[in-house]
Amino acid sequence: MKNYFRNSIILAAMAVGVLTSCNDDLAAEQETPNAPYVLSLGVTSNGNTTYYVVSTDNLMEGTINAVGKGIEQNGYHDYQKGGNSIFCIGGMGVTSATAVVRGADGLLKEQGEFVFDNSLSGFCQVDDNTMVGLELPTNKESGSQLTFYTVDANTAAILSKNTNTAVDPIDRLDWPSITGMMYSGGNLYVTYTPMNSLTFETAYTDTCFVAVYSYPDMQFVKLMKDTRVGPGGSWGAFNGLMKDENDNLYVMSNSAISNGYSQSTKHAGFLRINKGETEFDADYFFDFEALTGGLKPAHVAYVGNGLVFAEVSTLNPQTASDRWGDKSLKCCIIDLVNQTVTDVEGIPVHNGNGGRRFAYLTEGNNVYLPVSTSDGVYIYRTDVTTAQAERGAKVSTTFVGGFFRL
Amino acid sequence: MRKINTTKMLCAVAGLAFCSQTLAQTDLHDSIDLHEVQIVGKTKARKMHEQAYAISVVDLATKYQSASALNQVLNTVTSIKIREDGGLGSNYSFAMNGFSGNQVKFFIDGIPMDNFGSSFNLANISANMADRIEVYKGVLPVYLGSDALGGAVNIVSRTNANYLDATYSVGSFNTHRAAVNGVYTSKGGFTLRANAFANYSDNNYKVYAPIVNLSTNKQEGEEWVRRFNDGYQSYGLKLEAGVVRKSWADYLLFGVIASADKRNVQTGATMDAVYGGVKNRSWSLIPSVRYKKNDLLLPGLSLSLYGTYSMVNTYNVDTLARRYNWYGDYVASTSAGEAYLTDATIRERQWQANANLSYIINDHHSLVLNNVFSANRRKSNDEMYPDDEMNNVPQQLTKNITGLGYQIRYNRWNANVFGKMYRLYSSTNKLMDQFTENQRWEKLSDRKQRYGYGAAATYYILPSLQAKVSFERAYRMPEAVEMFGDGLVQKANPDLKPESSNNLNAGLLYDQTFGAHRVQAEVNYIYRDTKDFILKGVTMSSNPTTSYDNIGKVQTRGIEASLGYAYKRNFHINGNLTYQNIKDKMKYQESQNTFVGDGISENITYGQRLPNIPYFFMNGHADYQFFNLGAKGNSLTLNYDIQYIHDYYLSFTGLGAKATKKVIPEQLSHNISVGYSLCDGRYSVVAECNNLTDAKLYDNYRLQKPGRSFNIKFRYYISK
Repeated sequence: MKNYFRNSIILAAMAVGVLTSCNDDLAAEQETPNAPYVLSLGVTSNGNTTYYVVSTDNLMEGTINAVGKGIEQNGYHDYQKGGNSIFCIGGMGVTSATAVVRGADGLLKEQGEFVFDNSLSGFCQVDDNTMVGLELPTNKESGSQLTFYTVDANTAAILSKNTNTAVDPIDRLDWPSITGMMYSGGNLYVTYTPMNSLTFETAYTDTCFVAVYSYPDMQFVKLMKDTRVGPGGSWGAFNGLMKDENDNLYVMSNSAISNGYSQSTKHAGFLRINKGETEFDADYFFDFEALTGGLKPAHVAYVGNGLVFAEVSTLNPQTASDRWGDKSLKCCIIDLVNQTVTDVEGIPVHNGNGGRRFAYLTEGNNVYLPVSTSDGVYIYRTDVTTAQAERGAKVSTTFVGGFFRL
Repeated sequence: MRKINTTKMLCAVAGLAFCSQTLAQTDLHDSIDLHEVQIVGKTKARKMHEQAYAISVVDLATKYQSASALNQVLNTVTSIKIREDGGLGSNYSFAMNGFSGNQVKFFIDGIPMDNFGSSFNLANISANMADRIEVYKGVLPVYLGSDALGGAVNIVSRTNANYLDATYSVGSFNTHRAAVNGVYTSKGGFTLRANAFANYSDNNYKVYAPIVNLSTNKQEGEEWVRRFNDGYQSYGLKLEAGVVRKSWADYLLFGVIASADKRNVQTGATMDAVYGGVKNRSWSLIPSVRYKKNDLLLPGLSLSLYGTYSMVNTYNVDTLARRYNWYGDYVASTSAGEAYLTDATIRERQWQANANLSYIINDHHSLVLNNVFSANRRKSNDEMYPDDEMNNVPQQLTKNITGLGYQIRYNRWNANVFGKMYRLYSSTNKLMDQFTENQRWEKLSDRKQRYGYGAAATYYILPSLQAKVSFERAYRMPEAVEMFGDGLVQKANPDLKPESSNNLNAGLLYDQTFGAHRVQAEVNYIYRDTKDFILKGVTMSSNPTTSYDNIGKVQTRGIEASLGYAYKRNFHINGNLTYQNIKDKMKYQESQNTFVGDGISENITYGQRLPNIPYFFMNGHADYQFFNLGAKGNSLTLNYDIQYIHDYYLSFTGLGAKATKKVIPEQLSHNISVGYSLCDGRYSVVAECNNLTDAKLYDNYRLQKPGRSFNIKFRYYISK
């Protein structure tokens, strides 16, 4: 009898022993100070997504991971560079702006303690020290005024807030879904798609709309319209506008069902707005679909000298079952000036990477792009002058949310 | 010969019960008890505990004086953690061995409580209405018919023929709780059973929260502030009337549950989001009927039935165009709805019916057959969005679960084997050919069927030492919304599989009395192999439409142990601990229709502990009673409770620099109370202090629970 009792006690004691020796520390690799490249790794597992902002000095070899390192960020985040900071916008239930900057020790650190009223629909840099954020009520039922913020590009401090400008007239057809915002020559340009906020139907795809607001007083200036293409950009992709070296803007319109349109009534193509002007450049129109036999660009990045690095959908034609797919993408170099398209060699056809923004990095003539392949996510380096790509480092992540040099 | 007849008859009756799908109740354990009379001096709770199933039984008789809420009592059971968002009436989640939400099912007297609404819940019901709580870990007996993936909790009502138990407590944060429980039974067999409760709290406890300057949007550090929009009230009445001890019925009871609650919502996902005008309320009305007859037609055959119809309406309101901070200050906002603009009414209606037939073949063998049928209908309407096509479009779900069990019982050992059949029929309306001229609503439906099975066995190595082992292959069937989406933005996933799990328990139970000393000990090993969790796809990409998918594969290995010592009736001390190693065992992540399109990708968190689940916790309790103090029949009771929960990470355990990781901090809390009762417990008063050290306690990331609180409780109790 006593033996059994003793055995039970011993068992319990053993259990306690096992328990107390457990912890979650995994072997952490040290981060290298002043490693120039910064990536936000979006890890999704078991229905949860968390971001880890890590740095590396080598994009072409080895594995980039967040094992025991990286700044953890919870809740949905968008990333954008401004000044010498990387803005991390998002959070759990609130939208706060956090700046990731390089500390005196050469390692990344997080700073900032500002909170936006709601969630930002647009965010862009206007000068070396200032960013502008735009907030739009979620739907017509919840509000009728826009909110513009100016934000310090270095500290992430909210400097001012302006709620004097109405959503009207950009909500006259349907509630606007903001697809891009850029500053040029004293104006803020905003592309959007009229979209039913309950059904996500896009019934108005015959016209490209660009709303112009003055900066810094954020007054409505003009609603530019052009019927050569449909609306600029696509839902949640921030792909409506690009800016060249001379502050001219290019509007990308794709009306792509796989990027969320419920219908497509115009060819995908590009329009130009010259610096600070409030008319489309009547002399410029690039009919992308006519040139490529029906293809539509999904994500675009201006590299320089009129060249754009793009992910182009290979689905042709796109049908209702492809809606929201963002898949089967190939990489191309698009020359906006000479209106040519060259396929990049060396990058497999792949699916969109999940982060809303196109996470890429340009350095000289090279574009680095993380691509989700059957073996995992790899960084591909493309020389835009030759359109040749080379596979580089592996990235241990589900997707890359942001990719910068700091 | 006689046996054959019996079997035939049983089949006939079983068939009848089946076809008519009349259904209800289940009291296998009652019939088992007939065989347990030789075990002298064991309480019902103890006897339940000695079943072959992995079960924890809380004998609530010891909790009546303090009139604790049931969720508080459950929180001290091994393997269980109740995670609260805040104070009285706040949202809570019940977690057991890594399972939570609708993977764990709740029953009251064997009747599933899934659709009883938010007002009639464990946090509102006081321990005084029940005799005991039975917690089944991973393996469910046949008579609890449900698709529980990870276990179940059954609340068993008090069965005293005549009693009245009234309690009232008042305490910190303007908290008042009252409960009246009673049963009247006449000599002629008429009985009336009533349980009533009322709870009220301002919940204006202090929290350490971030303060945002509303004009600059700057977060100006953290301060201690009072919660200002967190009031809660709930009321409920459970009434049953009928007859007992008739030749044709052991009982036939007609009942109704009526309850309502009203809640102000103070925070969003974390205390970073603070609300001043978000509110919700609900009401439930649930008529029921229960019937049971032992020795029906032939000795050893017993039949029980129940039927319920539940009507639950829930109202969620968030319409203010304001932004609040933690001081309670606000400014006008350009956007209405502090979290999400809504003024929604959700109407849920459910039929439930059960038939349970058991037959004791002889001293050693018995059979049980159980069938539960439930039909669910759900509609919602949001007044803020009158154009929403989804308003008032119904979704329906019918579940039919049949179980057949066989039990063999000898002196030193007994065993059960059982099989369960899960059938599901669900239908919804879907918008077809959306955005075309042919756009129309069409009815979609689907059927699913699964077979589960299991076994449980126990052996008495010594009269005081018992070994147990149990196993079940369990399923949870998808809900209508999970299968069909909402017909609009949530996409349907016709390939959705039920969640499935292999649950294994093995344990040793020891109970020995040495004169005035009694020692009880228990050690259990827990193994769970779970896959195909039904989770909502990730909604963060350039795709606002999602579907539910089968995601993940998780392995849980755990150990739970408890040790107790008692000296006469005067002194009790016990403690328990739970450690569960819940690991992500999914190597590759398959994605369909998600933002990364179709494909297979490596799962980055393979082999790591699942985040945001408490995995190591302990409870301790000690009490001392002075009997006949002051006068004969009066007693003084001193109680002490301690709870420890090890800290755990909010997000993936192996990723990220430690300094930046979000942690749910370690919890160590102490509760003490002193009670004095007169006239053998007829009158008693208890003074209680919870969270004695005023520790900052969090069950969820950045959602602070109340600090130190005091309350005083009065009780009046008579029984015949």
